[in-house]
Amino acid sequence: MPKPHTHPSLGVGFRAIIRRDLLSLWRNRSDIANPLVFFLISITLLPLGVDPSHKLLATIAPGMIWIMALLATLLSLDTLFRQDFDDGSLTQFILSPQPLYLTVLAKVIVHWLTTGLPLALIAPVLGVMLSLPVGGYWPLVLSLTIGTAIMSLIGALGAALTVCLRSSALVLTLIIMPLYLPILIIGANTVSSAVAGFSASQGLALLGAALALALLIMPVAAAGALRISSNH
Amino acid sequence: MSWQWFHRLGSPRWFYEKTDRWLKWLAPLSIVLMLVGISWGFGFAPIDSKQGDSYRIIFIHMPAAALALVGYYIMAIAGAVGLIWRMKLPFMVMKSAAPIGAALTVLTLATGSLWGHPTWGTFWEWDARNIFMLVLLFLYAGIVVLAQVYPSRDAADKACAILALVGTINVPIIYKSVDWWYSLHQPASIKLTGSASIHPSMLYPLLLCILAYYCFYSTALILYTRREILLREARTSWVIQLAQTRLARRKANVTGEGL
Amino acid sequence: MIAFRFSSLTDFMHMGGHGIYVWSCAFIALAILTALLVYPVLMARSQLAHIQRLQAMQKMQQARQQQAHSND
Repeated sequence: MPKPHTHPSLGVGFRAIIRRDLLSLWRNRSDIANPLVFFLISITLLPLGVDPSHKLLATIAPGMIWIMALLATLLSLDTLFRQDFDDGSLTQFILSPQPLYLTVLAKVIVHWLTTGLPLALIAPVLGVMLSLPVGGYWPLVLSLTIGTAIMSLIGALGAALTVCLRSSALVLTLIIMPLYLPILIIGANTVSSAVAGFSASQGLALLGAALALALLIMPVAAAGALRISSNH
Repeated sequence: MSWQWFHRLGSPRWFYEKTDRWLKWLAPLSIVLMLVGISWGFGFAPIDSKQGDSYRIIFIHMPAAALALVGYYIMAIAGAVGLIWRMKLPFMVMKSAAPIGAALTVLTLATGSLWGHPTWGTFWEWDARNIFMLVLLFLYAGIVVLAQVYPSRDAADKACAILALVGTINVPIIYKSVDWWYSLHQPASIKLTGSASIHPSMLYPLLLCILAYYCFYSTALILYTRREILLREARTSWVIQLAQTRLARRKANVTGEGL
Repeated sequence: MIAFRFSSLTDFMHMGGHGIYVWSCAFIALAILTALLVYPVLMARSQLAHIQRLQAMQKMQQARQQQAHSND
């Protein structure tokens, strides 16, 4: 009697994708360093282009660090789906019984773990370089942790829409920039208001709410965009 | 049975033939309304006590801003209808609305900065409304570029529709967040954005201009959609027939004049 | 209530000192709005002409093919 065909459980599929992406990133370890290097270099350029007085730097530090983190994330988004698109595994993901939502979510988690989280953890070093006042460090790390997660989620939609294009970098930036704007505003203001003495909890709560919303909507939209991109 | 009219609406040919008739009165109406409205505002509305005559730019600037925003929602709704009911015509409308909205946003930004200089001393101010208009321009630009760069037309339609829909959720979020940001960073000098209650003699020409812009937008949208229809349905028999009759009519005109 | 608010045409052009701004706005608006109406009409016409030319070429090709067949 033929055995009933059972699919692997959702959890198994989810973890498999995470493991696969982490492994392939580990094999190209240098790729992980790219956004971090960009982050460091651009922050170093800032005091050279602007008056490096402590007062000025302290005023713009929260915003600049947030902007640079945003740009670094933007740079790293292209690789989110491109390799899978090029070698055909994207089609396999779409056809498989595993919901595409979970596949996208798994890839985004790996992307955040290897791009956003390191940026958030290295941010205090940059804060020191830019004379960020004492009250700002903890809010900086927390807001960047949540913020980069949101940016990875939103970026997944942009990457999914542009993966079938040859020169996608400019279109990707154009598409995603308006979506990133509110996150930047809330995140940078969380840090600046913490520096000014107010509590950071309001901004962090807003960011948390945005993360919840993005977790709900973005993978769905990205999955739809992936189906369109691969079907063209 | 009741959905028949809805699906008939989805036929590009029906739209093209219907708008042949509509345009005959809609286009002149838009032009007339626009000229009357702006002349009224420029020449016959009373002078503003605070801003003098430069406030008259509002008759061009404000309706353009309103239509730029409304146009985005029209584009997004068209995209949604196309995605949900898989109809061709809504996608054509969506694709046509993008450049019109982008042009109106540019008009808003240009006239806004020209208004800002005599009134508040600077061509550009990072306030909530300016930033919002700039972001709206980027939203439009993203859709225009995406539509052009995508390899296949159907995929481009769906991708633009998704982007427009995500943008729709984003537009109020952006406005709220920029507004909040601006309230934190308001400069010391208080800007006069105009009194809360506007005098009727200024309100009526403004309303007329808004109506004029709505008619104008409809005309432009219909014209662009007709062009899109001709582009996409180029191989169908009715379009080919249209091209032939147009040629025959022009030949007849030429020979008629020759006589 | 409805009265022309300027004492002369030169005053109208001058717009209380802000004439250059007001009229540049008017000019920009005229340019953009006219372009929005004219461009699609021109493009539609050129598209129809293009379709007609394609048809004419196809007919010529068909006629030539038929002639070639009838000559065999």
